[in-house]
Amino acid sequence: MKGIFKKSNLKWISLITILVLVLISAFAAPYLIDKKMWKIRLEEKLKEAETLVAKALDKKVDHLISFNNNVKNRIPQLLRENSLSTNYIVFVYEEDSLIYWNKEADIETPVRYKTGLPFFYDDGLRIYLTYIDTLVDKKNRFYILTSEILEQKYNLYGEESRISFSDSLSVEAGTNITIDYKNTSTKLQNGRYRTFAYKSPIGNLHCNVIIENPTLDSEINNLKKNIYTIQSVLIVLCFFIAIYILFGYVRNSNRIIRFAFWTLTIGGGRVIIYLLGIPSTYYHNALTDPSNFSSPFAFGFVRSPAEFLITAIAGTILIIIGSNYFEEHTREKPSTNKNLILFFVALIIFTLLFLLTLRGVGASIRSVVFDSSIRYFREFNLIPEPYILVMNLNILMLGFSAILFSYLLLSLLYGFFPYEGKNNYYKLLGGIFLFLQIAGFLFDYFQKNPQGTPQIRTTYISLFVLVAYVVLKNNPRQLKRFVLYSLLASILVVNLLTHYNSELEKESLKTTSIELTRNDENIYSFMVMQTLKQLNTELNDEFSNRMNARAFLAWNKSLLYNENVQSFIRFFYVDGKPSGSYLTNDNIEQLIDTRPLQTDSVVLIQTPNIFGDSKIIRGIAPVFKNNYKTGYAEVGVVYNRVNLSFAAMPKFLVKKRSLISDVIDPNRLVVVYLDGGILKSSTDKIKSDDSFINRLRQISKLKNSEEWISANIDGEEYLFYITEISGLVIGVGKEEKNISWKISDFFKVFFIHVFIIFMIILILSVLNYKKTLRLFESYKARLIAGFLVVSVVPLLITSVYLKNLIEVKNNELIKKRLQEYSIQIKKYLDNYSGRIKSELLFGKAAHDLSVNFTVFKKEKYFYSTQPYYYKSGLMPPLIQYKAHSEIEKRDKNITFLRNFFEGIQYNSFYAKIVNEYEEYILEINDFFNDISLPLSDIELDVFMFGILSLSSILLILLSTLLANQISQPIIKLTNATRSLSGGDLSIKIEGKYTGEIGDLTRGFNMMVQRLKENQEELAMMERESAWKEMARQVAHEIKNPLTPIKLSVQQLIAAYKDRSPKFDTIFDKVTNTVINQIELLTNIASEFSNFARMPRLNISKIDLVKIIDSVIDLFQSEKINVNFIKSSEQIIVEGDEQHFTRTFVNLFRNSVQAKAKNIIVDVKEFDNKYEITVEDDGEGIEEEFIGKIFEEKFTTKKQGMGLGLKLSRRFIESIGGTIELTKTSKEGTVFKIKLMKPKT
Amino acid sequence: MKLLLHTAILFFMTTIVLPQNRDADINRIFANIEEGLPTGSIDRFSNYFADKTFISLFNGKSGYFSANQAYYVLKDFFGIYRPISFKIDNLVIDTINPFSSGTLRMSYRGIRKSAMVFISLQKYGDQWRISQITIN
Repeated sequence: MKGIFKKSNLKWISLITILVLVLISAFAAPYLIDKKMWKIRLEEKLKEAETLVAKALDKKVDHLISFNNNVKNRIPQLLRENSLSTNYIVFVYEEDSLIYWNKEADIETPVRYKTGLPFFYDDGLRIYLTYIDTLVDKKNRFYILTSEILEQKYNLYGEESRISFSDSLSVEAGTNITIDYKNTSTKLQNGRYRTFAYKSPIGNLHCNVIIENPTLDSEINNLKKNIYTIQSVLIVLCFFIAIYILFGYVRNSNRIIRFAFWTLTIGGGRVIIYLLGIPSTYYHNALTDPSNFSSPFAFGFVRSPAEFLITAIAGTILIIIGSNYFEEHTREKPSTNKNLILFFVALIIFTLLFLLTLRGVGASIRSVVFDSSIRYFREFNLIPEPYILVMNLNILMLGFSAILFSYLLLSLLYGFFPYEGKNNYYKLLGGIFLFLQIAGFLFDYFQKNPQGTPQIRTTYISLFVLVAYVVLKNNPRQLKRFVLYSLLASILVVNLLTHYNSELEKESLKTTSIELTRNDENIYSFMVMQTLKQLNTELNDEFSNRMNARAFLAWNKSLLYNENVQSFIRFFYVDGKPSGSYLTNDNIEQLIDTRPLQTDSVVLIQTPNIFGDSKIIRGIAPVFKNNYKTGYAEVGVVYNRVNLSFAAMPKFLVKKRSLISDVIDPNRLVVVYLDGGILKSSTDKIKSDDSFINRLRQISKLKNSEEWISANIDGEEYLFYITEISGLVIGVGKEEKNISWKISDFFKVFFIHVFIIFMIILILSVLNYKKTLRLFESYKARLIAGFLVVSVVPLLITSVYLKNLIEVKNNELIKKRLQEYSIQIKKYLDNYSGRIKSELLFGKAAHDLSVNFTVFKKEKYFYSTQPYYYKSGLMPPLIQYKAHSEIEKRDKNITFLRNFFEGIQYNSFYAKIVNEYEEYILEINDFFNDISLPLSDIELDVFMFGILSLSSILLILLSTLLANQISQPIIKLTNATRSLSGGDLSIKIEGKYTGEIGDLTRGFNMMVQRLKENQEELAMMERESAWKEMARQVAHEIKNPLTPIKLSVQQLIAAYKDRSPKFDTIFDKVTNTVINQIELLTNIASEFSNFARMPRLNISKIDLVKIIDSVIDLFQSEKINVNFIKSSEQIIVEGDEQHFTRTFVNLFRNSVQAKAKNIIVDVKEFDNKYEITVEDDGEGIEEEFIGKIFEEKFTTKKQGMGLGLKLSRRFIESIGGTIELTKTSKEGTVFKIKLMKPKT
Repeated sequence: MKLLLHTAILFFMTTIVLPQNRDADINRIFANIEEGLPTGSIDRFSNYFADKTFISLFNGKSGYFSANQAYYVLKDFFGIYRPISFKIDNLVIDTINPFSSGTLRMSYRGIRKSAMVFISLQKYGDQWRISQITIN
């Protein structure tokens, strides 16, 4: 048993445990809730909900009162400084006069209410929690009213943006909670609802709280959701453990298996994330919102911007891994294909895959434009909203992956090319360029729906081949390749994006024409009856209280608001007198009767209006209370065959529908139609254009047709889609974009892409901060940075200043226009002053001058050209405090202020006016009046991006070029000096430089030449001296044994001549002596030989990467590009550092002298050894010399000693390695060094 | 005689068969919606979405969406507001743009809600498509 739990089994045990937990959790939910105990649990939940509501209300009351006390202590300061920043509404009264307010709200004077007690206040559209306290000083009594909105009954921008205290409590309690603030509801106590009466501990605040019983189903569902979350976490854990286990098996396998592993990991990971519904199930924001982008591609893998991001990251990583593995593979096993037919087959497959990839990108970008609500070219922010930024990143990654894949295909194609050598590859690229262009043309020609345009395709192919040429020629490092591919990707996707955006704009003209004529009389009648039905169920209590607000609320809840049709809701008492109304447009009043049809049943009436171009469809229903008729409700719409009501509706009430098209800026959109041969238009510009009207009339004769026509209106080019729908000729046109507009569109997205690329580089730089710091030590980097700062920063500052300046000027213009309006109105009023009653006079002025304005008497609303928004209570009937204070208290005649309504900002101009000796304050704003500006936002964008962005790019290019030019000789000189210090005397700075730099380089070259000559002279002298010394030593050492040999031989000769009887003895002795002396000579020879041997090696563990990097540094200034590929950042071998350096210097120097432009040093790690390949593209070694290169004194160079490779081999072999020449031809040479790994 | 017969057949086709086909097509779409909505099964009727469908939901989401977007916008909406039941109360098909309305009951975090649903169709070429879904 103990053996099972040993360390090596832990991963398996944890995997199985998690799997068992996942299985258990799958069946657990129904057993975790005891259904028998549900009744008790339900009681508990209801109690919890009651406590929750009571506590929340207590807290609200408590905070409100304490805030009120706080305000009470600061009144003098408040009146002096007007600096209250709070969400509470604060009103200060001095007796009955309102003297201070921080927000405009519709709250009546406090005299009606008891002070010191909190209460609920209902203004018809909102319910407030309010508290009033008093402050009495020596002279006066002040009332301080503080209030908070608890419920907002209307809903302009969606349920979730509505303020609702009860809704937030419902969400917290997990069941429906309704608060009856008026205490009018009967106590509901049944199987579905529970009601309890709330009473605040402070004061006498009470209300009924109705709680809907939570259901068992929802309880189980909540539990299931929690369990699902736990399961998701467990499955993710399980997946990671499984991957970890699998990695142990495949880490040392071949590339294909490793690639398969990564594909399985990344692909499997993506599938698991998708199956678990991450992130859409758990997070609901703009990033997971499918309206921002959703495509059905791959069953929902890209169903939102966030999911698209995850898929794009997974795909990009996979392609990068695949590309790296493939590069390694082709380096190790280059293709040896010599078959031209096979190459052509490969070329056709490459072309097809290349074009299909391009088509795939086109289709994806089309989806990005058509399946998204993001309008990439409408507005610009360098750092846009996160979901827009993510979509920009997604399309960039999409393009990048496609381009990387295409370059991978191109590398494959190189492998099939039967000819080697760079020149041949250049020729191949030229051929591919032509072939791709022709094939691309044919590919699109034979397709039903080709993606993109011929211009985009030809431009992309040209840039693709250009980048391929740059990569082939310079073999740039990974980071430079990344930047090149990313920029190419951006150019491709942004071009496609602009193209499909203009397609979408065209498409939207069609949609708009259908949309404008979509609603027929039947739908309108239905909407009227539906609204009446809805009203009938709601109007069962009081009929007389705040009926204007009730009319607005009913309209806001109905389809009439959703459809944004010109409509109205009116209420009448039983005698026909009006009790309240809401009209979307004041003009409607002129089209309808002032009294209702007094009827006992629901009636639908259709009446043409007096101008005959529209119809009023209205429904009237009697309203009953306790079977007693209390009045009438009337709902009506103004029906036009072409619904142009979007132009007449105020902006804040316009839902997306009435904008007709969210694709095109409404200011660029023009609608025209022929009604009975008469032209009607949404703009005045067209009415005077006879030629356009005639063309339209001609088209109208072509029934059931559609046409696209271009027209010049007011000097602007427009594209119109003209069609005939049910006998009506309608045209929808958009202002065409000119070239500078298109350029600005391109740069709007391209800039964001550049920003993203920059951020990625920044992140990589931070991760490799040591290298980055080294980079900024360089003169060149500093120069570029300096130039960029000096050139681009002022440009950016200027553009920001310009933008601000234009905004300021635009604001001033708005102010001026509003002031001019006010002067016009004032003059008009002066003319009639005292002759007409104020309200009538204001109405007459509005009508005659066609200006919208509001008039306040003291601080209260008095008159407006848009009365229904004030009467309903939607717009507070109170002037802004600051405007009132400036005009009334400081006696200023005019003031200009910025206002907000429902989050929309607008500008208001206030002026004092007088009529019938009464003073009023006039407010004119750009909320209800359209002010045209000389330089619109679009024009400003065109200017900013069309001109300034182009200048920025030119400046960046110029800065880089200049910095390069200046720094190049310095960098060359620095590197040459380093090479020189490393002992390389063959270094020479090439290039024709003038001036000081020229003098410096010439001086340096001369110095190196002198040093070289001196060194050679010195070496020669040293050699001579050494030879002399050696000869002397040799002579001396040889002389010693020679003398005895000579004497012995002489003795032997004498003995022989004398025929000495001791000859044999002498012979033995002499020969022994001679042999001994010869032995001595041999020893002397060995001693000399030992003396001439290489110095002793200093063997230690050294980092090969550092050595190669240092040698690469030595060759920085040479016209050679070294690409160092290593399997890890540290490669430890045993050897002598100096000898290794010398070996690589020898190899590099040989490459340089063989006129190589590129050297690739590739270090590969195997189980027990390293293989280092040094490959160049020089002229190679002639065949006759191949066998001699490692021989001593063999050299093909004039000044060579012929020792370099001999010494290198001797050193490598002395540490147990090998060096060999593996390949040489006119295309280059490859040396391979094998080194054993040090024993651990 | 043949001419008369052909004319009679043509008349029969245009006056009786074609309108019946029209009604059948429209009814089928509304029936699919009525079956799909109570369970939040968008797949039941997503094939009928127009190129640009107007969707207006009470959570504030509103606008013209492509068929792909519309599918996921509604799927997400029903993922949060889980439908309980739906029934068409009004159906008007003998008009240029047929429409229907009904009441949808839903559950949101255990809170029961109801909303009025308005759906209208429009003819694109020879196909009826859903041009609007309003859940108010």
